[in-house]
Amino acid sequence: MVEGVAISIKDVSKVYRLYQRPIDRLKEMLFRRRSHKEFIALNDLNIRVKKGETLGVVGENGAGKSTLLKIISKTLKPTGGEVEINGMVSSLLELGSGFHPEFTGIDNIHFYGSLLGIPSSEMKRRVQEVISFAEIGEHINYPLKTYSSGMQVRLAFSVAMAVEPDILVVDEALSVGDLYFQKKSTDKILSIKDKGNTIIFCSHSMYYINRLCDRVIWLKNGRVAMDGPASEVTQAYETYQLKKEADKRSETPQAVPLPSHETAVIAIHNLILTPCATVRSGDDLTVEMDIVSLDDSVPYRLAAVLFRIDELRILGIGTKAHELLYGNRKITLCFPSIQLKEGTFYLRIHVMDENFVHKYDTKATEPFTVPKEGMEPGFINLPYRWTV
Amino acid sequence: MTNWFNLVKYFLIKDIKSRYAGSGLGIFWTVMMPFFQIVLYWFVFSTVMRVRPHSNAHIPYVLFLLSTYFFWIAISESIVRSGMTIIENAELVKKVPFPVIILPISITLSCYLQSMVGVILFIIAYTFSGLSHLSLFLIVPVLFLQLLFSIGFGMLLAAIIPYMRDLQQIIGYMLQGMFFLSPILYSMEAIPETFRNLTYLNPVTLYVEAYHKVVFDGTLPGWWHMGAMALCSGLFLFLGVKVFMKLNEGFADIL
Repeated sequence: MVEGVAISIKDVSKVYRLYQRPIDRLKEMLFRRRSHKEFIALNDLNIRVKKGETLGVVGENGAGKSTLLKIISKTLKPTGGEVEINGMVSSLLELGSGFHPEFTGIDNIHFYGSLLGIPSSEMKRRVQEVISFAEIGEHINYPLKTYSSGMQVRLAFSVAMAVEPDILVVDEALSVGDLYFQKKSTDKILSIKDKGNTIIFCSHSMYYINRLCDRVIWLKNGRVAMDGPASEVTQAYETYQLKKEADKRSETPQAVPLPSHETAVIAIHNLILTPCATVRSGDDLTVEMDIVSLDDSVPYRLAAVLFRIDELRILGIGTKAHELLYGNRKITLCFPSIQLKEGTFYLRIHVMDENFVHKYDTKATEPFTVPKEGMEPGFINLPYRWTV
Repeated sequence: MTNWFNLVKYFLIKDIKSRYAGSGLGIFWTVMMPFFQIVLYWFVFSTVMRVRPHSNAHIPYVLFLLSTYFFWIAISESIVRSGMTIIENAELVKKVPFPVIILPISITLSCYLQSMVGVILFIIAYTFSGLSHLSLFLIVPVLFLQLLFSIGFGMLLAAIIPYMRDLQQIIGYMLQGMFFLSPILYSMEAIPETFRNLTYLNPVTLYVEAYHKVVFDGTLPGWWHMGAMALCSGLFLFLGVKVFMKLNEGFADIL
C-alpha cells in the first residue's frame, strides 16, 4: 500500500450471477458446474483515493454506484481484482441496521461498536459523545423500541460518526432527521472532511456533489466514464443526462405529425447557429435561416423558443411586432450579449400562420453549451440589486 | 478475540431478550412446553399402551424421559433456529461487515442455555427421588461434545438454507426421525437386536446413550463410544466451518 492512499481499487470487477433458482447457485459453488447468466456491475475498475480526499460518485441507476460503495464498505466481495482499504470504514448505508429494538440505546451503541470491531474500552470512551450528539438524553437507558423514528435515526447517525471512521461512505442521505438535526448532521460530515478524513459520497444531487467533493468519478455501465475535478465531471454528466432525455423524447412519435418537407408550403432551410457548440455568457448568439415558400400569397410569421436541453422553455418570442412575411426570405435572429450562465440549450424555430396557431414547419438548432464559470447555481443572469 | 466474545455475548442476549420480549411468563414457556410433552409421552406409553419401553425397573419412566429430553430439545431447537438465522438477520449480513459465522454459534449457545433450565429441573427432581449421585457431573463432557456437534450442524444448515429455502420444510421431518430413532422414549434394549446397531447411525443415539450411562450407571460410556462421539462432533464441526466459510461469500448476493 502506497503512503497516503486510503483506498486502492485495482482491476476490480463484480459480476452478478443470475440464477433461475437459488439452488443452482449452490450446485455451482459445490460442484463447479456453470448454470447462470452474468450481469457485469463493475468492469475492471481502477480507482485510487488519497487520504483526506472527498470523492464524489455519480452515475445513472444501475451504473454500479451501490456495488462500488458496498465493496468499499466490505459487505460485498468483488469477483476479481484487488481492493485495499487503509483504515476503518463506517458507512451511512447501513444506518441503524445493526440495531435491536429490545436493547437500550447504550447497549445498541456498544453492540454496533462490536460489530465494527471496536474494542469495548474504546467504545465506553465514546458513548458520552454519542449521547450528547444524538440529544437523546434520558431515553438512552430505555429500549430502542420506545424511541421515535427521529430519535432512532439520530442515534444511528451519531454512532456511525462516533466510531471515528478513517473512511466515511455516504450514500445520498447527507442529512437525517428533522430540520434542526439535518443542519447538525451536514455540519458533522463537513467537519469530518475538515479533519482530513476520507469521504466517499454518492448522490444524485449535483449541487451537494459540487459543494462537498474535490474529485468526482462518473460511473457508466460499471466503468469510469470520467474522473476529474467536481465541476467538470458534474457538468459533463448533467449534459449527458439532459441530452439523453431529450433524445428519448424526440424518439417518441409526436401526437400531431408535423408536415414533412415535401408537402410543407413554407419550410425552414439551412438553420445556422453562431457561435456553435460552446457559447460564453455575454456572447452574441445568432441564428440564420432561409425560409422557402412554395406559395407567395401565404402569409407567415416566425417564432422561436429557447429551450434548455431538458425541454424547459426559457423564452418564447415571435415576430408579432413585424409585418406579415411572404415568399422566400433570409432571416436572422440575434440575442446580443446572451445572459445564460450554465447548461446546454437549443433554439426551436417555428414558421406559423398569422395568428400563431398553425405550424407550417419547425426546426431545432444544434444544442450549444454554456460552460459554468462561477460558483453560484442557476442558468440565467438577471439584473439585480441588493439593498443592504 | 475479546471482540468475538463480545459479539457472541450481544447476540446471545439479543436472542434471549427478543424471545421473551412482551411475554408474561418468560422462560416458563421454554420449560413448560417440554414438560407438557413429557407428560403426554408418559401417559401414552406407560398408561394407555402399557408398554415397558425401558428395562430399568427401579427408575420411574418419567425420570427416564427427563434424563435426555432437555438435551434433545437443545439439539432440535438449535438446528431449527440456526437454519433460519442468516435469513432472519439478512439486513445485518448484507450491510454490516462482521464475522457472520458468529450468528449460528450464538444462536446455538442461546438454545443450549435455555434448555439447561430444564436440565437443572431434572437434576432437582432426580435428587428428590433419592437417585442422585456425584458422578452426574460426568454429563458435562458429553454435553460439551454434543454442543460441538450442534454448532457444526447448525453452521451447515445456516449456510445451506439461504440457497435452498425449501430445506427448512424438510428439517421438521428429519428431526422427527432423529427423535424417534434414538433411545429417548425407550431404552436401547427395547430395540430388536437386528436393528440395534443401526440406530447408532443416528448421531443423536450416541449422545443420548452416553447420558443414560452417566445418569443411571454413574460412569462414562466405553472408550469406543466416547471416541465415536468425539469423532462425530469433530466431523460435524469441521464440515460446518468449512461449508459455512465457503458459502458465506455469496450471502450478500442472494439475500
